[in-house]
Amino acid sequence: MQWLGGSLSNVEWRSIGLFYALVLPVLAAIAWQSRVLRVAELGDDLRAGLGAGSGSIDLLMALAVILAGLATAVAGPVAFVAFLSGPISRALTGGRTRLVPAALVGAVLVVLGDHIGAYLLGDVNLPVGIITGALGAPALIWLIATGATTRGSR
Amino acid sequence: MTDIPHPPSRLHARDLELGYGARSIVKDLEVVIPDGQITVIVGANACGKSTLLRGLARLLKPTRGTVILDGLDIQKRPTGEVARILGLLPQQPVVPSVVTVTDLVGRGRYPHHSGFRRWNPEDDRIVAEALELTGTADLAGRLVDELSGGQRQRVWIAMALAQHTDLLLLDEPTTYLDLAHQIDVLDLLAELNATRRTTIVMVLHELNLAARYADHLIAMQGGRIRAEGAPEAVITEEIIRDVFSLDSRVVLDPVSGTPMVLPLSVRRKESRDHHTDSRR
Repeated sequence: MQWLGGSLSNVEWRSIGLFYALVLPVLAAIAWQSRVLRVAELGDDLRAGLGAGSGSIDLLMALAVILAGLATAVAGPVAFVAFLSGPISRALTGGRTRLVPAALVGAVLVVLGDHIGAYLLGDVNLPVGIITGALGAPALIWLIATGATTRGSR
Repeated sequence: MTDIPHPPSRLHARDLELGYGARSIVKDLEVVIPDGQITVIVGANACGKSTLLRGLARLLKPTRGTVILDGLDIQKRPTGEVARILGLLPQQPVVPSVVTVTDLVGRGRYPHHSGFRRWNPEDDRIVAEALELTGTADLAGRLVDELSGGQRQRVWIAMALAQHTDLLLLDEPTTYLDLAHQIDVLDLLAELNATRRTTIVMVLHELNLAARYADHLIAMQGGRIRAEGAPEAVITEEIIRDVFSLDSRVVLDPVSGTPMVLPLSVRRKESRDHHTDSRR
């Protein structure tokens, strides 16, 4: 069941310890490397012109995949959290892309989704992945639709 | 740093061949970029101008030959080290979705930082100076997205200035700008060259402006250099005919004293020939 919709119900404290032991070094490495994102945003030519090789982007991607993999190993696939946290934190911080606010928004989304899942239907405990999926899918469609119109008008 | 006793210039290329995949665009090229001068590369569409610029900027790995920066093969130098010596402004850089002018210009400081060396007061000073020099200080808090084309181009140049390099390569920095803003950007680059002795290499389409602003002009044709030197030596009716397949008259620009190309339209030329024929 956990592998269909991610859930926090079966997570044990034992796995949390191991999880943090693995996640913290990866987080530190990402924080160390994250400044490359500021120039990666400017396109491949300027990124290279400013002295950031494509290897540093590949490394960041690999670290992000490891991070997502670790989270999935503990809670299963909790859909759309990453899709939503970026744009929401962007709206909250006045448009700046920052990793820490995005991570905090993601954490809030998961806890909130878990809470809604636990109390929405009385006795039935819905897994958090179902809630984030149900909320996230329309939000994603909305983001794509509005994103497409702002691009087109430019 | 260099073993060569008298390198011809800080940036030059030997026996250069550049291309994409199996298709070679630039062949057998010997290029010397004069230090402290403004070099302008001109030529017809698809003659390899931008490809050459990309090769010189290390964005394109040569299929043969070498680009040499300060006596060393540019491909073998660490990217970050090259980025502290040579700056590049591509033709159409990507504007991040929501970014202020100061933030964008600050990103030019990237090659001067590392995991240990982060943003410091010196960076603030250099960014402020770049904004001042480009006349964008009053736009500092604005979003780049909301600026006009001319303002935005100034901001990109400010970012390149913040990179603080001795050499600056620009790919058609005046594209999509009206004439007044083209002059504005070129004046800014000329001023930069005069005050900081920054070596500037740019691709330009507008020949008369190229002749005005270039110390050294490179005219390319079919991936090779057809002519190079002072604008007076390069902008001739014969070379314009070869490079652009265009008949023209070259006169002296009454404002700057540099050569000025007056293109002869093929259609009008025919009608005039016809006219003179009938008079005979």
